[in-house]
Amino acid sequence: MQPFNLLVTICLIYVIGLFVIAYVAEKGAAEGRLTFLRSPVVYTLSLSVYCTAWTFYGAVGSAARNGLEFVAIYLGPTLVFMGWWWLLRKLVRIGRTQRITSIADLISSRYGKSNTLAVIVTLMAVIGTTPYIALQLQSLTLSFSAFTADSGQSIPSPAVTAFWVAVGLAVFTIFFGTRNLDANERHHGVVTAIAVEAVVKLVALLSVGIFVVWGVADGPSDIFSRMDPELLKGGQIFTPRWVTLMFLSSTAIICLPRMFQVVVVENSVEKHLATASWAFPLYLFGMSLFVLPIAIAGQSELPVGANPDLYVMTVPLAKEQTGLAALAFLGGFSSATSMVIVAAIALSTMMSNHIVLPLWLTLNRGRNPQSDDVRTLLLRARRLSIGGILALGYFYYQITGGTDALASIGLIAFLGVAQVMPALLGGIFWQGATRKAAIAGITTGFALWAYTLFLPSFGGAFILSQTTIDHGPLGIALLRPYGLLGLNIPDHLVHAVSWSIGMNTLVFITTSLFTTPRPIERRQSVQFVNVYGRFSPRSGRSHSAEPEELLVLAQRILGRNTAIKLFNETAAEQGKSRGLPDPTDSFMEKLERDFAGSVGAATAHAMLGQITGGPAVSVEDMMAVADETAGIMEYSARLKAQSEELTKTAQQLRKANLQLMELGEQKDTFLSQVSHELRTPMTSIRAFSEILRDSDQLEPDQLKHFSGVIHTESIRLTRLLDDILDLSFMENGQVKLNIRRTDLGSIIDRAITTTETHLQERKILLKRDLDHEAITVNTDPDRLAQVLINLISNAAKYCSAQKPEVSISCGRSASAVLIDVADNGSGIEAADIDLIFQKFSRLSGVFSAGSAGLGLPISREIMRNLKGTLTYVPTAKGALFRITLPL
Amino acid sequence: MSSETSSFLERDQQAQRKRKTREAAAFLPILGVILLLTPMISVFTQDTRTGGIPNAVFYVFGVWLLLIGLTFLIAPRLQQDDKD
Repeated sequence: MQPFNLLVTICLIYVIGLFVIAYVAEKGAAEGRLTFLRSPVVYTLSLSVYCTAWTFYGAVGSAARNGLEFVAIYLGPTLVFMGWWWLLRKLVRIGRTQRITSIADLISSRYGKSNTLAVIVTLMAVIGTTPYIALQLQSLTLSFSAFTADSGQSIPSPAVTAFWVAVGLAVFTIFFGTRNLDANERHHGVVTAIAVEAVVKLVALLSVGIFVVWGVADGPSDIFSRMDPELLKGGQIFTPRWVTLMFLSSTAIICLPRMFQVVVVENSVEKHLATASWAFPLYLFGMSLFVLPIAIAGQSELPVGANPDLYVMTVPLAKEQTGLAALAFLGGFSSATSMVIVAAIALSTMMSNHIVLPLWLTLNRGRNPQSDDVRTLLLRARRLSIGGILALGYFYYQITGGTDALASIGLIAFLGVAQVMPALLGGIFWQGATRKAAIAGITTGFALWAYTLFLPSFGGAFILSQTTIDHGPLGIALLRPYGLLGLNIPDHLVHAVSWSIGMNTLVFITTSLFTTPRPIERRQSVQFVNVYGRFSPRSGRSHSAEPEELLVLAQRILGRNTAIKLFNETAAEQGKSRGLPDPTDSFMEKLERDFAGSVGAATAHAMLGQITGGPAVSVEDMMAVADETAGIMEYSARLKAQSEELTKTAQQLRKANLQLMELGEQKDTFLSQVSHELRTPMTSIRAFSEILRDSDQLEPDQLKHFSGVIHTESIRLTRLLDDILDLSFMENGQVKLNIRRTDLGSIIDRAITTTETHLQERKILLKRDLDHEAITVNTDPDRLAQVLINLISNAAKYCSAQKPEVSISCGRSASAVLIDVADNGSGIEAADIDLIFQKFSRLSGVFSAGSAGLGLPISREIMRNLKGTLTYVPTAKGALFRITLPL
Repeated sequence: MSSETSSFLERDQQAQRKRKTREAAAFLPILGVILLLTPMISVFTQDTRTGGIPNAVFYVFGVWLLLIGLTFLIAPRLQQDDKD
């Protein structure tokens, strides 16, 4: 078979294989099988889109020309991945929480969902990536022709080859990159295919390397002995260019649209970064280990004038290792295809989300966004964008192909996208960075990049003429693109990096310091910079949006099933068993974030804004971000509240403990008092019964008297025990009440009849209020009478007036009946008021032998059981006890 | 020593270890910059050879491998740290 046909066959088989792998992976992922697809290994391998055909072939070329310089392109990413904990982890976390779909989306979302910024970054990315795609096409056609150069066969022109490659790539990318609108914008099929391509690349380069070192030469020392002594430049690798390349490559690993796509957007599990942090540098290490030996072999084995960029293939070819050369070709093919596929997906997402969709929204401003199928529009826009991007790359290749302009475009493109870096870093680490500053910084850097590097790189063929490049515009030497303001740096790249990145950063920082962010920017800045922090969702505020409208819009963007599922779940969360959820704050926030996963933050914001019509940032939002430490303060306030509560609880516990101890003490006192009270009658009973037993000659009168004392004392003892029992029953609530409707007057009559003797003994005048006694109460009459008896006899006992009086008055309020029992004595001293209701208490002034001191405590317990109260009311004259009874 | 004190010490030691890991992680990229991005590297990359291989190549690739190894050692601990 002719070499060209053989190559085409190999490529076709390879591509079909990729299709199958991508298809199986996509299907497996959709069904939840093939979990290994989401393993850190696949993630790490997918990162290898960093190694394009430009690095696959070009690294050897670079090594042949500039020695170790090529290593810097790999060391930059190594440093960034070593510091994953600080930068990449934060980016990935932000990417996930904010549903970021591209680098343009990240920048726009951070700076207040600004579509202007998104468009600027998208355009920059397209300008920076198109030449890069052209470069891949050139590498592929070059390798094709190198393989078939000696065959003498009539082969299609490079342009035709490039055309078919571009078409094939477009088909693959459209097929797997835009199959569906995933809410997370992840493409399992593509990522898996890329991981496979990564392995092919590595195996190809390692095989060629091993062949060169141990096949062509005789081990490492032999290959280095063939080295041109000038190659390593005496080991002087630390030059301004070395530093510049390291800087550029470390920014490129984040800012290149395709790298952002695989590192942040396609990342499904954050911890994969931990593995990638060492595995990806290791991959790069493997990719560059044999670059120098291959370059040396190419220089020493191949005729002078052979293209160093193709050594990877031409060295095995010269040694008649066609199989190995074919593998190398496949490696280059893999590198080119994977780069183009991912770049096209990333760019098409950006173009459709940030240019096509906003444009369509503006054109249809009058119409409701729900009235058209956004999903179809978006998918169509993406497919067209992919075709457009590849067409752009192809035309770029057609125009500049084969010139130096294309060969050097790799680093130039790096610097172009690196202009996003200040705004990106400032955005995620500095809350003070503003949208105006980001726009100013990026455009300044971009303009300087175009003027000092990109446009002059065409060598006078595009916009800037050769005279302008040599002598400055209008002959003003100070404005020479390669020596701006007379800055004399021989290396154009270093010159351009210093100017563009330096001014970009400067303008970005100064503008930030002199501008004020809008409310929505401040909210976003807090969410980006404090992405690891806690945010309590604010809810409650209702939006004017109709849930039906929202559902229709969500169906258009997220797809029918996803949208309905989301709405049902939210409704359930809101506690609605059926129907649509209310458009609360948190729900709207979630919707917007989910939309952003499909159409980008700025567009999602605009679409929901059209439906709700209200202000996008509420007063609460503004208040929440008004103080930048709001989140922290809120948290500390919560902590403070918790600790206060703890202190309060501790205080209550301490109080309860104190009460318990007091109760214990009271119990002891009570027991000793009870024994004391029991002892007194017991003592007299014993004494008199001893007299009765021991004395034979007792007068009948004496006998009668003594046994009378014993009898009285035993009665007193019984009463005391009854009282104690009564009290303990009542305190435990075990007392049985005989509640019935009774006339209050009859109860008072009973009480007075019982206390008649006491009253007459002391010649006490009793006053009653018969008119008001005609109240029917619902209570236990016996118990109430007991209380009244106790109060009346107390009054009779302790009243110290010359002409003692006891008055009983009644009254009723709305909810209770009041019964006052008052005397005209000296009352109870203030110090004793608290004591009278305690058991066995003896008041300081009076002492009564007839009472065990249980009367008032029992009365109070009775009233408690009757749901009423018994209180002492201090008055100007005499004691007043008040009974309240519920009606 | 009571069990309360010993558990406190253990916790303290764990916290110390975590902090050290994070500090080491912060230091790694700085170490990389010091080893690869300062004029100092010229000291190690004179035009001499070791075992037939130029020292510059040895140095660059050696440092690279060393940095990968250190990252390999620290990454799992950082990840564990993140879980807490």
